[in-house]
Amino acid sequence: MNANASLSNSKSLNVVAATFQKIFDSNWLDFAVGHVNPLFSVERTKARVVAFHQETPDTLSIELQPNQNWAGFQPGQFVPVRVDIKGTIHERCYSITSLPGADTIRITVKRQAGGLMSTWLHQHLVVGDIVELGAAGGDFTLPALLPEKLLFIAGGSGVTPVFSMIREALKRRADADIVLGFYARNYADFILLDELEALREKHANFRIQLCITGERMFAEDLVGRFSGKQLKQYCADFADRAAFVCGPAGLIEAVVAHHDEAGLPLSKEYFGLPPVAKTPGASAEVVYLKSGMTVETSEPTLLQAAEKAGLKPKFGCRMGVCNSCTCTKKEGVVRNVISGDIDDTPNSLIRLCISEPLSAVKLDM
Amino acid sequence: MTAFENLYKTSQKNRVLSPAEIDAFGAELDALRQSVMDSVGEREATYIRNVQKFVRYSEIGGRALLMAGIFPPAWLLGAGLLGVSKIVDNMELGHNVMHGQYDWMNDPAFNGNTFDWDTVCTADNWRHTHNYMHHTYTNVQDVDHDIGYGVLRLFPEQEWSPRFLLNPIMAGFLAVTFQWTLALQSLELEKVLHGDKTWKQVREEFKPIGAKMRSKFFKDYVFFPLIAGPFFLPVLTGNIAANLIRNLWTFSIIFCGHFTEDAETFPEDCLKTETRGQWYLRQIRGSSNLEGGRWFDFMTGNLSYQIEHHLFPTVPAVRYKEMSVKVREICQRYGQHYNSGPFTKQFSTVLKRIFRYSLPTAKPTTLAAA
Repeated sequence: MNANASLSNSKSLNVVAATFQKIFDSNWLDFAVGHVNPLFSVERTKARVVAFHQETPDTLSIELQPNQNWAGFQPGQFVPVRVDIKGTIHERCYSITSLPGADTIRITVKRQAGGLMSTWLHQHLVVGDIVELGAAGGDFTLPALLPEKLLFIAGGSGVTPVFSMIREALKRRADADIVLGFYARNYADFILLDELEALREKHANFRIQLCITGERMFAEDLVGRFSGKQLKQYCADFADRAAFVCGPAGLIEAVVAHHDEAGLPLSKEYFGLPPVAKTPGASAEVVYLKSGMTVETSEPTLLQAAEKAGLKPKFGCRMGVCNSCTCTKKEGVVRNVISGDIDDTPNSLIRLCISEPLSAVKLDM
Repeated sequence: MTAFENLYKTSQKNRVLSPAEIDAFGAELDALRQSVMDSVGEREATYIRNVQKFVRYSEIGGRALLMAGIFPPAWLLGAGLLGVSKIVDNMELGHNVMHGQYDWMNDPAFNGNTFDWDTVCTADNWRHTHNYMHHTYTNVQDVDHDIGYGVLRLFPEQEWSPRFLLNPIMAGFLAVTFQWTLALQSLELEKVLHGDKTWKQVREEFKPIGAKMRSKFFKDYVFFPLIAGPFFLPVLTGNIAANLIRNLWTFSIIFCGHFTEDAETFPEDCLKTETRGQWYLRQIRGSSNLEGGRWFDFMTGNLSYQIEHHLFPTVPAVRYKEMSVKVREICQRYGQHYNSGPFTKQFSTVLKRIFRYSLPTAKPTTLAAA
């Protein structure tokens, strides 16, 4: 087929597709094709659950096969996972523990006490289920040029993005000099340790140091929370290493304090809820993603905050009835001033006129 | 008399309430809404997904039958089924989803702000004229454009002019072409008559409306007849009939919502000091319910509970029936008239209005319900 013929073919295909879109919107097409292929979607990224692996009693790895809309990821990034739990779609971000280039992606989910999504994934998800994915995100990745020496500090399930980054680093350079300081409360929390140890067997310059805050069982492990003194014990040349930390807020704050004092750069990613800081009368930070603005506000509702910031948001009744001011809250915690309900879910629809910010909030406007 | 006193001295069917009573009234309705929303979840999500499946499968079935429409039974069944599909898409699905009743699902397919329905009226215009203007300013004279849609005189407070002699003809025209005339509503063409708007402005505002009109016209009157090949005529006439069925039905139900005998309108002044409780009262006094069975409720998109819909536009409409029991009880305790009746009776009072106010009537000195 010569170039001209294929060009006119694709043009006529575009005309057909455009005509079809006039008659059937993307939801309709998803519905129609979904009868034969539930993974199909014109615009949305969906993934089928293909396998499970129970890493520890409370940690489950889930292997997912995404559809054609999946745009890939960098090691260290997370993927937003959306599932329908009792009629509402909930979203949580999970770090990807597999490497790019494969047909499937893997997430490793630790069941959090009282965690809505993690509990549901552990109890209800079965092979063959279809979930929805967002685009991979996060800046916690390896630089394009791999540094000579690397230091990773991971706490508990914070090892998940680190795991992917270590695999990628060793893939790029088999003799990469990597130290991993792995922190946990007890031995059951060292998730993916068997895979990390298998990597250590194959790569002489990759060292793992386990640090336990609970009961120590092996002499080579260290006891206690992170400290500069402890770090020197297992990584004397930390000042020469590109450093990455991921885990609960306590661990990150300790490492940040240490590196800041030493004047050393550090990449970090928080695992866990953002702090809800707002006291009455205090101000909250609002980020308007589409307008590219960040504002500190002490206005009682997000609608008033937006107007004070000089934006002209759509509004109507200003009493929570007409839905004109509805907007997507990407992240953050808000309170419904009429009902008192708290909304801390990412990617949820809120009415600005009756929403009071309780933490830093990011709005899709 | 102040506007406030005027407002609350209207129909004798309603007891005049003190400000404290009005606040308590409002609080009871707030509590009712909250208790229902607290229990909204999986059942309602499953319900609306099933409604959408019903709309889609009945559309497929209707259109398929019309392909065989050369046989009269297939044509009748096809046009009927397609008409039902369009009605449910318009009322139980589209209208309710666009109110944001299912926003809590966090499902982009049921997001009130982005949902689009299968009629020529653009979703954005509808959200503005209906969700915002009509629901906030329900039955307020000179503000709620739904009072007469700019072409009909239905209340004595509307100033008479010779063009209203055509009331019955305009109403009939509106009924037959409802999806098209509703699409044009936001243009407020009557303002051009009075010189308050230019044709240039109209042409600009018409652009997105025209685009949607062309695409829907293409779908029903060009595309489907074309793919029927030699059997295009039954498909074309069937689609016309299905749209007509939907137009007549939606017109009748919607007109029964606010134009029955006991429905009241309100002066613009009342908005200046209106409290939340007074807003609830105005919604009740401006709305009327229709009594029918479960299927009737479904086919009206639960607008058979127009009162509950106006009190709670963001609550999933499938819950209105259960809420109506409590609303009736609250109204009774506070001495407020709960306007409800069988469809034929309510509709006959609407027809009465259409004819009566085509003729000049004396402007009322107080705000009496017609």
